[in-house]
Amino acid sequence: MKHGPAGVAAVALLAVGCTGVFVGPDPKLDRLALFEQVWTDVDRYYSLFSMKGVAWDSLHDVYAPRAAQAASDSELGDVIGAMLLELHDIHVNLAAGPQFYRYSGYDARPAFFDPGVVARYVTDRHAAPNAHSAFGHAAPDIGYVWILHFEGSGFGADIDTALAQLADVRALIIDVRDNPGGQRSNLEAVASRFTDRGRTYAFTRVRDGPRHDDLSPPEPQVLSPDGPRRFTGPVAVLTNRKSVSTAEGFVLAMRALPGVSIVGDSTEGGAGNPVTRGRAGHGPGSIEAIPVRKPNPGPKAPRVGGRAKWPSHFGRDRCLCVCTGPRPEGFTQRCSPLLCPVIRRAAPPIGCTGLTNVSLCPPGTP
Amino acid sequence: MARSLIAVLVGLLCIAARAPAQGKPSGGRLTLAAGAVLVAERDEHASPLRYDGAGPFVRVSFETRTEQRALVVRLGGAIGTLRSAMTGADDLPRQELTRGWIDVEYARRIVARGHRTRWLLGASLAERGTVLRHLTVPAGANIVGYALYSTAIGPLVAIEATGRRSRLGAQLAVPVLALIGRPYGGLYNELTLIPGGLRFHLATVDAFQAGDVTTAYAMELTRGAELLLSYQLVVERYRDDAPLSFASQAASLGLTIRLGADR
Repeated sequence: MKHGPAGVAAVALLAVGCTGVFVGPDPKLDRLALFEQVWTDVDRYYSLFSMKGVAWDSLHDVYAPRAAQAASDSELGDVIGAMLLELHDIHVNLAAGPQFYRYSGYDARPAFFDPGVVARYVTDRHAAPNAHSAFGHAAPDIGYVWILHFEGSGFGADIDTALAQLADVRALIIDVRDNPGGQRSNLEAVASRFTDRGRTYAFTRVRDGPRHDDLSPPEPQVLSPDGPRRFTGPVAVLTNRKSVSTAEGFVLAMRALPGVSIVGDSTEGGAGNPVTRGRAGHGPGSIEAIPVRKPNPGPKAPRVGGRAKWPSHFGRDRCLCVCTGPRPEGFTQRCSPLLCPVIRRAAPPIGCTGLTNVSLCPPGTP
Repeated sequence: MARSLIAVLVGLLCIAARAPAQGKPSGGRLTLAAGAVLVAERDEHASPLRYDGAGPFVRVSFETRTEQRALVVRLGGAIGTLRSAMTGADDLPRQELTRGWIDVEYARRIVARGHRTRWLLGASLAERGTVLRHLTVPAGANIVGYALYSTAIGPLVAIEATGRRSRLGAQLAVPVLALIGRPYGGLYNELTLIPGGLRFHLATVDAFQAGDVTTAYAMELTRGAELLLSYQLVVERYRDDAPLSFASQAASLGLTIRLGADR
């Protein structure tokens, strides 16, 4: 018995280095097995196959033979990267050593955003306290708020400051063009200053099973009023193809509010939450990580008129139409000149049936 | 198979409970222990890579013993930071582990060799919850929490040797039936609470294999207090399309207070 403590300590010491033995080493995969692992991961967790109409099995048949023929890790990265690009999803990326594969299909499209135009019309622009946004007057009675992104904190304070400084305006333009997104709580912090009561603005669904259509029941996303001051006048939200991710959630939230119009090009179509997957490599320069889209969501638009409508900005073949809702009061009688260069330059993107209500700008407006 | 396992467990519990208490009635022993835990895990919902790390843990336990039987209840919690072969200088990706457990063990003497060593057989009920907060990028939007919850029951065998002022014990518990809760793609992420909860289902040893080995040495400090040195190895494997493996080794030092008739 006198050796009891030594015995316990010896057992512990002997076993200290062995914890990993019970779990096993990282798998050593050849290139084809690595391809199969990536394909399987996306197959298991990606949530938008059905919505996007992607035949993932067929893509396996196309790309697996190419992966088998890859002579280097770099070539394998090219094959997997090309396969992932078929999802047309900015949240699906591949980092393979120094190479980064990202869907950029929308990058070549016109941004319809020239900060110079903003500078010309908004001459009194100020940065908000936390520098996430800037604001000023687009016209004496029309305010302008440019939200640069939704990353970080302090968005409630920023929009409160902007609304306090723009207390004299009758209508407001909120610009989320080129906004790359951020955290959902930030979009709600801003949008909550524009609602008078709790409103469901979207639904999320989560991939919760191995079949592509295994999705959880829709979970409502509710916007509640917040902040010391709420703006209830007419609002136009400016969007473009580079309004991405959380910025698209912001558009969803704002379009659920009365008196708000969405103006601009369709948004990116990347509103799901991403998740990052580690990848076992098999040598220097091998594939290290693959962020895939969150087993999460697709927001679903609130029911409108008793009929469920999917957000039109979701997916590559859908787009957000410009001003398809009620004509925005406050802009019909006297259009903000800021909008006109945007709308005059906008051409209907492929597959978009929107941009129909461009009568916002009176003919001849500069 | 599940039915036969349940029948075996019920039988074990009945045997353990059938005999009237013999020997002196016991009070209880309350132990507060703290130590370090080494963890290795691979949750393929989170990553195909193994994550290893260490962290502190605390445990509170209460036990009551007679010469014939022993009843132990333990509550514990651990935290730790786990890293993989891919973790870089920026300490990403990594996993932040939070684990809590409640163990209830009941065992009855089956063999006594002399009056200082005894074998016990009984059953163990172990409830364990593990959440792995998986961090991959600095921005934070991709933080996802993965989880495994299990309530497992199975046989337990233990040996105890008692000295004049000390006690050495070792035990093995092997669950044979478990209630498992494991969200498909994670429990939550930083942006969205994932609905659907833990998705409970029953698992036999076909799907859930686990083992718990514990050794402990208790040394009397005073008439009412003991110093407890213990080591515990826990291994869990859950077979699924995306399997999960978990192993932990914990070493701790504790103080035991004898209560009531145990003094």
